[in-house]
Amino acid sequence: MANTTTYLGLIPLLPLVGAAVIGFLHLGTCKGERLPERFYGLLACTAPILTFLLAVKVFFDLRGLPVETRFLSQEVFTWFKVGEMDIAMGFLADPLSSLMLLFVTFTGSLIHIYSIGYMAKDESFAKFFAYLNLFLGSMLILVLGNGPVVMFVGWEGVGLCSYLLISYYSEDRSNVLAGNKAFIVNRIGDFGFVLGMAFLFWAIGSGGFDYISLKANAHMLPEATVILVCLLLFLGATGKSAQIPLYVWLPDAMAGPTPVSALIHAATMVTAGVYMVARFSFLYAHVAAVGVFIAWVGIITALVSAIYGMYQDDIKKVLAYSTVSQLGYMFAGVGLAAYSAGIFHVFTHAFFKALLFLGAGSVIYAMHHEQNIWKMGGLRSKLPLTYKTMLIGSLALAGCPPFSGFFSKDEILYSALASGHTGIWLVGVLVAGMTAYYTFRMIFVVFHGSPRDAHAFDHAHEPPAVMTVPLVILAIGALFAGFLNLPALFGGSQQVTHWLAPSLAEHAHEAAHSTEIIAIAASVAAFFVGILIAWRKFGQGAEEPVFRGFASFAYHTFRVNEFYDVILVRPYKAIGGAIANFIDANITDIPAQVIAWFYRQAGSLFKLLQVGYVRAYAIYMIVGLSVMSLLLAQSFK
Amino acid sequence: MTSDLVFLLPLVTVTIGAILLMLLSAFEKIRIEVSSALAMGIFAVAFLIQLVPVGPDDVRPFVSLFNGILLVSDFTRIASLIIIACGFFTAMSSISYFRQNSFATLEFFSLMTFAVSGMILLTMAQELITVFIALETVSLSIYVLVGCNRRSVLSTEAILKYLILGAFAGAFFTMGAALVYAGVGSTGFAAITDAIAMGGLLQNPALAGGLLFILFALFFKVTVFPFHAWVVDVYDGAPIPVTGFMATALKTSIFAVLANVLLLADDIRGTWVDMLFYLTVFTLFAGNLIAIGQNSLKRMLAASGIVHTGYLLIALIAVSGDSFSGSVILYYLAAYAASTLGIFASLSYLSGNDEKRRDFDDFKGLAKVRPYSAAVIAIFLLSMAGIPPTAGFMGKLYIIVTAFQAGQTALAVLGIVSSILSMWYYLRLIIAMYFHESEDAFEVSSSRSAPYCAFILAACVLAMGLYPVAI
Repeated sequence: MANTTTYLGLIPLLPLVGAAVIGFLHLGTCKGERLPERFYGLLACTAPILTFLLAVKVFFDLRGLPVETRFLSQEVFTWFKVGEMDIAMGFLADPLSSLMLLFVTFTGSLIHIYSIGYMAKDESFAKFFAYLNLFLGSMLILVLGNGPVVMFVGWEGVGLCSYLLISYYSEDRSNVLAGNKAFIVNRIGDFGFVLGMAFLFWAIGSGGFDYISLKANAHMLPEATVILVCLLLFLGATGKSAQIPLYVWLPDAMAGPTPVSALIHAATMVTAGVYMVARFSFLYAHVAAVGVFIAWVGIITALVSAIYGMYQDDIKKVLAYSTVSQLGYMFAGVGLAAYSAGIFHVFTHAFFKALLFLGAGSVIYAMHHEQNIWKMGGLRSKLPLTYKTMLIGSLALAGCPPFSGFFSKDEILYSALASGHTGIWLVGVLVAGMTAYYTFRMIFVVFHGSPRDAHAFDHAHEPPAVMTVPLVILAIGALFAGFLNLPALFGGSQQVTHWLAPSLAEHAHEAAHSTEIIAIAASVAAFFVGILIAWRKFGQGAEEPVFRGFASFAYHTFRVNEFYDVILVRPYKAIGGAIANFIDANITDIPAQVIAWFYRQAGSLFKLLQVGYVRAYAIYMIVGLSVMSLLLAQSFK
Repeated sequence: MTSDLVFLLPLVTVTIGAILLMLLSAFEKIRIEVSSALAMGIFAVAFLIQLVPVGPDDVRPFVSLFNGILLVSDFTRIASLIIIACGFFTAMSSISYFRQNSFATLEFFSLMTFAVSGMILLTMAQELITVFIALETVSLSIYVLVGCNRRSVLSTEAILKYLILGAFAGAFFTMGAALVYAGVGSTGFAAITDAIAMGGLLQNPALAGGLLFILFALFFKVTVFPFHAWVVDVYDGAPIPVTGFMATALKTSIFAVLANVLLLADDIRGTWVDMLFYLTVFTLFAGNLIAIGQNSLKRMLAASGIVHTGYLLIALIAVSGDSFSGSVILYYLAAYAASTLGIFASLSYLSGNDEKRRDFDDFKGLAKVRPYSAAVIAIFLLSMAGIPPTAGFMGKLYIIVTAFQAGQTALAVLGIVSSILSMWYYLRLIIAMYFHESEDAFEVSSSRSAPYCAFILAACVLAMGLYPVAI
């Protein structure tokens, strides 16, 4: 068959093998003399680069296929078979997953290279790369899995790696707690995912549980089941992709090393939820109401986190909230059935957000691990290359035409307007303005004005080429990626949308060009207003503000963490403590204790029988033989 | 005819090797490393030859010469493979042991090789006198091995107890063989099957009584309750490599004979199935209860060996005569052998001079000082306790599933209960290793052959657990 391949399974396998090799080498040598960092660095970058080449091959192979059957698949082995559930460890590459594959492996490779510089002289350099390879392997399983179960393997794998890497600097207790928080919050989302999967299987699983069969059988589902499954899967997405109500872990996740924030918590893993919704577009397309709900959740998340972002003082926190905010846009897109717009934003976001995080990493590296923007200032002269690349990233994030973020964000906002959801569109435009404001607040405070910490400023210097080259490459991506999906208004042909069309159940929102012009004009106006306010307040240098009233409330992220703590965490802990200290100790344990006591007594009784005298042992044998003979004699009757 | 030779070649190789090793022992200058390497080489060659498949039908090699007293089948072949592997790994790990215990003699390897040759013969024997000769070859070698540390009082005590009780059981075996001859007029298994087919077991009291005595002797060797009492003292007194060897190779060979005898005719199993049921239950629980009372690791492992015998008895009861493939028993034996040898190899490495670390408490905090050793020991313990993804889990699973299929629900449930009880003493060592601070520097043997051996076996335990190929 033209659609089966033999190399698809290699794509996730390569980084997993890399992780195992690096991990075992590290384990074997961590006590004695270590292998040189250069060696580990090369080893770690091999697998991502090879997977990128394979991803390119997948892309061209797909292009060679006719549109109706544009997919490649491989079933590596039967994973398990229980009753009607026959799950193969199988992989599927179609236009959607191939697009994800391309940018995941591309940014992944660049971030691996960047990390060689950033993590240099780290205590456990090799361990970091083992985790990073493991992450890439899991992410590729997630993207390439041919059904929800295989996707779930990757889904959990990336969650695990996220946890391991957030807690990477585990000497500091707060980092470990941040890792725990990420893991636990994600588990709540996973609970929804698993339930959704279970319902889906219960309803139509017997006809095969991979995407192709599910898509073919989806019409048999009653609407109520579709709504339930879609909502449960979306709960999973809110966990992984940091949406209300489960977004709280992502800002804390910035405790990990900065390349990790770039790769996992900005470019790839956190977009898994969006990818999943697009994957299941054949379900979501049937229930528009759920879609609108998702869109509203997304846009409100975008708004709330943009408000938080306006008041943060940690450079990575600013970027973290902007990630949450951009993810909100993506959900607004996929919620309104503009799946290709959402995925396109995932794609461009990967470039400019990875770029911004890596740029922030350079700044942090140059400032000797200082992350507070109010300790920086005037770095433009010291870090010219970092400044230029970050400026490109910021323009893309803020949605300045013709940078990539402008096109993708605009497409989402245009879909909202064209489909008649004016409310979502208005909030979206407002968030666009706020995005421009907080992004350039960060740029102005960090790079413009005069240095606030003279000592650190004097020692700041541009990082080595191994870190700056990836910045430049990503900057080129952030600059031009938007042209791939140029709308007709600008003389383009929306190539990404056409490419993705076979994978998605999209119905395009047709509207007049005038609507599109209105949407674009509003976005551009919001961008200029945002940047203007930022310039007025911070452009000439500014002092660290003292937050009062609403600002203080927003700085503390509306006290949501404290709120969750009071209404969820503490009652839960209290109930757990009560069960552990009272019910468990005094009620449940009693039978177990009694049995253990009897068991121990019987044990000492039998120990007595082991007297150690041969004669006693011989007597046991004779008694045993006599009883055996007696039994035999009885059976003669 | 040459193909017949191939099936006997492992036995021949090992026997010639044993004689060769014995002759070598006469030379003062040869070091034990050489002897050990030679023994390992012999076992490796025998193992490779033994890998040759038998084919669909069982083979009676040189039937005109031996009058059909030997039988080679897939069952005997795999049992021999397990036995030879046990010999190989014992020879490998004993080097580490003898670096810390200075009573090594070259005869050690020769005697062990003789024992293995006897065991291979045991699996193939189809005639009672042959069984007896093979059994005595094995027993005599092992008596000497148990007592080879002549300065140790414990060791001397152990050999004495084992010798007296072993002779006692051996006497019953010959008595049983005589009775069988009286009843059937032959000691061949084929003749016994024919006699039972003619009139049934209970029509022939001499045969029934004779088989009872034979079963008794075999039960003694595999420590079935109430013939188990010797095992704790003997395992405790024997040097660690010998204990490991006895616990694995000896048990495998005797179970092969037991299966051969019990499955000769449905009538045999049918007559004793009730008795076997009670023996199994008592064996499972006596083993568990003795094990929890022990403080010494070797004694605990000895007692837990009784429990594993119980599981194998469940399998023997449950496999039906017609569809007997033995794979369940063999898989369990292999899983048990890998875990047990592994743990004894680790002890060979870790126990220190003159086996000074004997008790649970002596291994406190091992994980902090020697994390890899502690990790492999933990793998072996989890396998013995039957926790996935180890071989021990799959072995227990097969046995319990077989028991359910054969309608022995009570045994299956008791097997699960016993498995839960066994956590008590297996986890106790894991707790000691992992959840206590170390008080000891854990200096170890200067030879690293035992830890390599343990790592290979740990890999086997995991590999067998993950890919449980139906043997």
